Amino acid sequence: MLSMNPLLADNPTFSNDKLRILELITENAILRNEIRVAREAAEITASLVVKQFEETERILRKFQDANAQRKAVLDSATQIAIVATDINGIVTVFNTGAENLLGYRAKEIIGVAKPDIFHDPEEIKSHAQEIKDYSQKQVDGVDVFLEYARLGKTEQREWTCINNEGEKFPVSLSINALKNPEGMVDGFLCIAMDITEKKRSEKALAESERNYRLLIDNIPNIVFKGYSDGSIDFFDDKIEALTGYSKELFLSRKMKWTDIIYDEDRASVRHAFINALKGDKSYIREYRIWKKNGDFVWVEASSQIICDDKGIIEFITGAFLDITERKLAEQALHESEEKYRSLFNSGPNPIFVLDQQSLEILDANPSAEETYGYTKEELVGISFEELGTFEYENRSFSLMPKGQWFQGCVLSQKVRHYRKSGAPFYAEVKACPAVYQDKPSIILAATDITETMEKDAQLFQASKMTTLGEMSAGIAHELNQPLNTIKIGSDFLKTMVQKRQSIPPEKMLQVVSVVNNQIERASDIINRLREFGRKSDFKKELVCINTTIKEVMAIIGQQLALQNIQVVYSLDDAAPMILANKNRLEQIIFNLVTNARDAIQHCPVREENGKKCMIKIKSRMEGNESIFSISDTGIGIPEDTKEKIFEPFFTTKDVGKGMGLGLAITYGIVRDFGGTIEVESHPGKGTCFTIRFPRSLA
Amino acid sequence: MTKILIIDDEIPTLDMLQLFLEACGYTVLAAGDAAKGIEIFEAETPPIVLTDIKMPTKDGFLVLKTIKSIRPETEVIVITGHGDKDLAQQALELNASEFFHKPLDTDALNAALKRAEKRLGLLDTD
Repeated sequence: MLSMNPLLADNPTFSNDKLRILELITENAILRNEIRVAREAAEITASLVVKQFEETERILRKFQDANAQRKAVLDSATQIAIVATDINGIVTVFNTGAENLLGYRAKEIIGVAKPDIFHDPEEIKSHAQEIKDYSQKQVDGVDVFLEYARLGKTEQREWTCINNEGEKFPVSLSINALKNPEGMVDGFLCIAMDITEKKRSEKALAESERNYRLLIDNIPNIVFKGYSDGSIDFFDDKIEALTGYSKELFLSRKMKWTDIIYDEDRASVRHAFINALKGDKSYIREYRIWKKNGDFVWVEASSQIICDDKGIIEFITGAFLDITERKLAEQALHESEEKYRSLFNSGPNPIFVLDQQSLEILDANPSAEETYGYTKEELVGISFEELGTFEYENRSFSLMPKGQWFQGCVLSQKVRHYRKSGAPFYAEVKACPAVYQDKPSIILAATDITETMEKDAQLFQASKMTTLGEMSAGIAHELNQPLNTIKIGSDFLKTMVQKRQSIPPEKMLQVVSVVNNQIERASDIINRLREFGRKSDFKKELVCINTTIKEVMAIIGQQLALQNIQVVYSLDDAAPMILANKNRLEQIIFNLVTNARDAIQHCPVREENGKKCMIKIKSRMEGNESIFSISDTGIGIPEDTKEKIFEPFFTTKDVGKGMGLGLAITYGIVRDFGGTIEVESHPGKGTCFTIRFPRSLA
Repeated sequence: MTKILIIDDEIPTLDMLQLFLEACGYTVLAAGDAAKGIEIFEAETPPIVLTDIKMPTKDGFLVLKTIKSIRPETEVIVITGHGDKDLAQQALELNASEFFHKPLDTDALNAALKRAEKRLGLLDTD
């Protein structure tokens, strides 16, 4: 669209065409200018409007932000209840925290309720009473809360809140008055914080405190904190029970711990402290302290020295323990050990401690060294069996199943042990199970009974000699028989020679044979006598009872026969061997047979009523026992002397006829070989001795 | 030849005694126990009997008594063990002629036998 160009219109000199063009150009320029101006104006206006709008927007946004901030402040305090009221206490603000805490929604509270509904009426009443007591002013309901704020004071205290489900919980509530621009109170701001957790922590803390205290009170240890000057803090009252001095005496520094330490122990206590200081700073000491009443107490102090960065002692902490009882027990133990030691060391008998399994010697006393001829160093480590046998119920110790030990103590009598030199001696051994250095062991005490045995043997010998003496007449008879025969034989030869008669060879042979036989017979008797009379040792050997009986009877049988005493044998060939000593077994049989003979000879009515004078000798096997018995038809033993017959030197024979040792020795021998002897007697009818030996297991 | 009965339970002694007495010129009857001796005595009635006094079962005394009751004039000589004085005494009381201890003194025995023979009139007196 073309608009009128004023420049062109005002210049008429222009040719029409030229003018027209000029006009047009001008017009164009004008128009263009107009357009520019108009456009610029429009642009300016628009930017103004925009600016205005933007300003408006900005202000608006600021306002909204402030509002949002306020709301955010209120709402973000989700754990803090913020409740505002008007001057009459009607709620005007009820934030999210209040909603969370009390369970009510803001819309059901604002403008309707007063905050006293969130509280325990009883508590309100009691607080109202406090206000009344304080200011003589009667208030109730919400005014109980607002009273102080109205007076311009800020009140903060604990209250119990009740939520909409009736649950009670503690809060810390502060109430402030709100003032309008004129400075007049026109509302109240209540801020409440749930202090359940805090309460719980406080309670837990109190409980932990209590537990700690209980612990301190109940542990036997007395916990302390001390300082290098010897002053000390105690954490419990037990110190008074221990020392008789009160805790306060120490806490107030009127007393130092070092004051009551036993004088003799002080140096070592100090020493331990110094050592600990150089070392890992901890130490355990045992020492005595004086009690207030003058007694002393053993304490065990375990302590730790606490130092600062520079190594300066800050304090010492630790615990005391009363160990008096333990110490006294230790002392008693020590004394008992000492006692045992001195017994062990000075005891006259050898004592060994052996391992129960291996019988290895663990310890030996000086008497053991002396008796066995070894040094202790030589003894320790070797098996006890190298010193000699140890028998129990006829079983050698080494036959015991490994690791099996007898119940209780066992006694082995007359076992043969060897000195280092190889010289044997007899010992009586008592062994008891024990615990030595925590190992199952055997305490073995040996008694050298060689001397006793020798005396025994002498007595035994004396008794044998008596028997021999008693038998001498009979033996003389026995020897006279062969001598008589020999003499007659030789007299025959002599007569023949004297008469110068020739001796037929068969007669010569007959005489020589008889002489030979009779000499053998005589020497046999002599040998038996010598065998019987010789001093016997105590070696155990396998002995056949039957053979021994026959051999003894070969010596005295003839004599009995000539005294018209019939001997009846009932010997069971199955009777097994026993572990004994032949010579001693012979002695038993001799003693019993001669006693039987004497009993028969003392019988005043021996020949009357056709009563036979008889000695019965029986042997048999019964279970694991070899039994033999010798019975007679003699006078018998009166009941009142029956108990005494095995006692040494008890005799019923005339003075000079017997030593009273026969049965005592018999008893001793039987016992030595693990046997028993029983007597059954009927006065006037006879006596029977029964001897039982365990069957030899060897 | 004078008959002599000898009784002894010791057979070797009996044998030797027999040899010796035969060498001395006697006819000898030997018995190993008292019962056998009495049996032989009854059968043979020897004028002289020589018996051991201590023997099992029937002892010499019984032999002595029995023989003396059968034929009182029989000369019975007893032999005892050494030292049995009591027995010798008892034997003499039962009319034994003589007694001897063992071991036997053969010369003395010979003399005793001679005396017995004399008493019996079997020998000529000197």
